[in-house]
Amino acid sequence: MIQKLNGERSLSGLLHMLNGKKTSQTLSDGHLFNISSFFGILPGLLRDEAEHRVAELLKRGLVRLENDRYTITDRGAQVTEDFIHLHPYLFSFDGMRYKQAEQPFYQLLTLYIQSLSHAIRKDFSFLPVSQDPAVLHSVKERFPKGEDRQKEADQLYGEMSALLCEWTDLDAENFVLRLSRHNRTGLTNKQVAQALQIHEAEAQLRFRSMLHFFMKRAKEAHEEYRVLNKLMAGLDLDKPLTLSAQKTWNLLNERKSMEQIIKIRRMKKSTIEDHLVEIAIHYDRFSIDPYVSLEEQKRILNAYSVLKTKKLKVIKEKLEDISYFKIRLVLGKAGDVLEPSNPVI
Amino acid sequence: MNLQTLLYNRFGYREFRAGQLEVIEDILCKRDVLAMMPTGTGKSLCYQLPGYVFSGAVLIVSPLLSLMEDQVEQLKRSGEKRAIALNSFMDFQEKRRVMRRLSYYKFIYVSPEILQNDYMIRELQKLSISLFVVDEAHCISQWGHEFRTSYLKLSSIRSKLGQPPCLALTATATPEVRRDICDKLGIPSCMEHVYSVDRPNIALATEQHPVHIDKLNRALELASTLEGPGLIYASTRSWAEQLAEMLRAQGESRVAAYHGGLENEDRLLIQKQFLNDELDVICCTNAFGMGINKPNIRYVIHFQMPANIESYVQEIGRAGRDGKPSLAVLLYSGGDTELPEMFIDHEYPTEAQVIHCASMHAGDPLQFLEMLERMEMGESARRFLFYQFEEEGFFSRTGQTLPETARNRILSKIQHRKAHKRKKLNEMVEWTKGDYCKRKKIGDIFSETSQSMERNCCSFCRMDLGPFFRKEEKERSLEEHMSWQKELRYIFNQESDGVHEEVGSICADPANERQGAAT
Ligand SMILES: [Zn+2]
Repeated sequence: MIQKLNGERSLSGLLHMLNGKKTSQTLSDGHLFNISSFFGILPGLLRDEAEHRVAELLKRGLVRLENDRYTITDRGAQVTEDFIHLHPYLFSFDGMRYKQAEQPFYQLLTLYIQSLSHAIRKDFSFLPVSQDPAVLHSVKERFPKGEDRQKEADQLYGEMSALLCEWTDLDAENFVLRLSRHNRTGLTNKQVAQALQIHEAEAQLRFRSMLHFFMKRAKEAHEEYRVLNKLMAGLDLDKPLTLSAQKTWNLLNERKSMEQIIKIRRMKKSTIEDHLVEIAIHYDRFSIDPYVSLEEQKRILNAYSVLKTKKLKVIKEKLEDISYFKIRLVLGKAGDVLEPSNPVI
Repeated sequence: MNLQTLLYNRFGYREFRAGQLEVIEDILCKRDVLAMMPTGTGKSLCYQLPGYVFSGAVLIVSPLLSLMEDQVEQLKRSGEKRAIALNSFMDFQEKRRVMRRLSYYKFIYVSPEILQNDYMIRELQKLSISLFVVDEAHCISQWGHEFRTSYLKLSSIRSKLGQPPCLALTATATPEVRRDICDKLGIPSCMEHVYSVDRPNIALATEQHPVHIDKLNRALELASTLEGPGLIYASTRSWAEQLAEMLRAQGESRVAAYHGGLENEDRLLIQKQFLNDELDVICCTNAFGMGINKPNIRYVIHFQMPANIESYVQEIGRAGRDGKPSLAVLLYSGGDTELPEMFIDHEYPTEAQVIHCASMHAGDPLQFLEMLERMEMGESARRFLFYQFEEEGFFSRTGQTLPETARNRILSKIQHRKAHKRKKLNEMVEWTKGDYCKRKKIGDIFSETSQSMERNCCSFCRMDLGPFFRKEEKERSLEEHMSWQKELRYIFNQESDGVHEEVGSICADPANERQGAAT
């Protein structure tokens, strides 16, 4: 029974994404926005699995295949709507806006809470849940002085219980059990899923939805959520780039060349190349022309339209003299024109 | 300065443990030292204490990030703030911040990889380094079980830093490996201090089972009847997961799997749960262990044997660090050597791959690395091949291919190493099956003399598993967790005042919660 339900959940979750992916040209802008929030919802999903799932959906008559494009049937739309209704936490999921910030935010939050929970009991010999020096440093910078600590704990307690209260007990437990505190180490996603007897993917989704909700709410009401805002300060909430790629993007805007950036940032060429690909995907005003000649761009796009695949290896075989980097750059740039970019498949 | 006083003032111990004083005295005389001491016997004190006698800093090269962080954490908890771990995972800004005040630090832990960085060397050259410590020094030896190419450059790095005295530390190394360590580190006339690999409080059991399923059942039986906390070592991630899953299905709720495939945060959480006695059993691959200092591990079961006896001794050495009786069980059934044999093959590039790479024209090393990354090759095979090409001067002859003689040298090296690893694997298998005292045999392999013991020596001598079983059946029910409201109140210490009253009123109507979240 649970198994079946779980299958249903991921199926429908995927259905929604496919819905967004393949039919976006005919969708209204409103719809498009809706889809962007599901960006990155299932980062671990493999193509094989996805294809398998789609085949199942076809069989059940929830989607249709026309001219190599999937569209959703009326029945499929109904199922999707029912599903979202059953899983309201999905409304809070906003991957496009918070995907990059959710991890750094949670790392800060969980370490901050762990430290606070110990410090107010005058216990300073605990092992921190994060070893990332940047996170340790950020928490230290923001941590209150001795006498203010219980006050800070009261405030954060108020902020969190107000937010958690808006959710089901299941969602709240799914969040709180992950936190480490005095006398108890937090649970991993797998352990939480076991404790609450839900599927791991579902536990993860509920958790991430909650994080997105925290960030959204805290941003809307600075005064009410003082501590959460303090932790969020400095996180790039609206920019879709990773922090590291953001730095590269800033340097590019200062008219630094790729070689200069490699020197300045002391990073491997391949890393900076990854950044450029990321930037090409997200920023329209980034021109890839300095990196790939127009001739090569044309050849790559032609290869794509003939081969109908974004598999780098296959395209590379056709275009032996063009580097992987150039191919990724062109495909990344063209992403939305070719088809809505989607990190899952 | 009286060392005993220093020991007490800084570390809180009244007495040195076996070997520590001898090693420390040699270091204080600025001699190069190779010390082999079993894990858990206070190796780190051997350089931490001299650190307080020398005016300069102590540089410690350590192969594992977790190992470094752990040491730094321990030092900090004991009140030493001048400890830092530098590694390539650090954010550039973070690194710059630390580098600016590098001279402040007394104990600087570095990964061998970060020492390849010229900028780092230049910064270190500005300091005065009083002691150069190589932890897990067996990583420098090709005959050691954890060979790391980046260790081979340590000798030249040490000379760039003004040739400070060198302390090489290892827990397990055969005489052959110890010779190799001294050679490669350029400390041929160092003082050798070798302390026994024998751990008298660990009983050594080996069991042969006719077929795999018997072995599996036995592993599950042991894990659900032995007194924990315990470790079960498996050779693959998937087996670690399966064993944990099966144990849970049997009602052992405080079980987790640990392996390199887990997210970093999850690994940290599981380590901490285990350290805090919130877990009874961890089913793990060899990714678990180094740097985890838990004194009360009562048993270590090997569901699959490791690739050599050094690894085995190191892994069971995690049991019983508190000195109390502990148990090591190695389970064996036919076909168990297939996987380690496959691992050996995958650790090196194939002949075809070497030949292919040798036909390339030398250019940018980075591009060469990228090309390797696109070949069907494991990480260690890639590192090996890259290092060998570098050693043969491939990159200094731009545009040329690798000469045939060099290519053949590399190929025969690979043959040689594979043969050596197979020999070590056979030694492990023989030890498992052999009719002799297991303890004495380990002593033989490490050229020590270990004595059989009266009680609970090994499965060949005398062995009574009785004392290792649980005294009373533990409550098996799943641990109930608190409601989230109670949990949150506890986290923020809200028990004593009236704040918890509010929670109820905010959540007046639980039935509406879902709708609330949806808006
Ligand atoms: Zn014996």
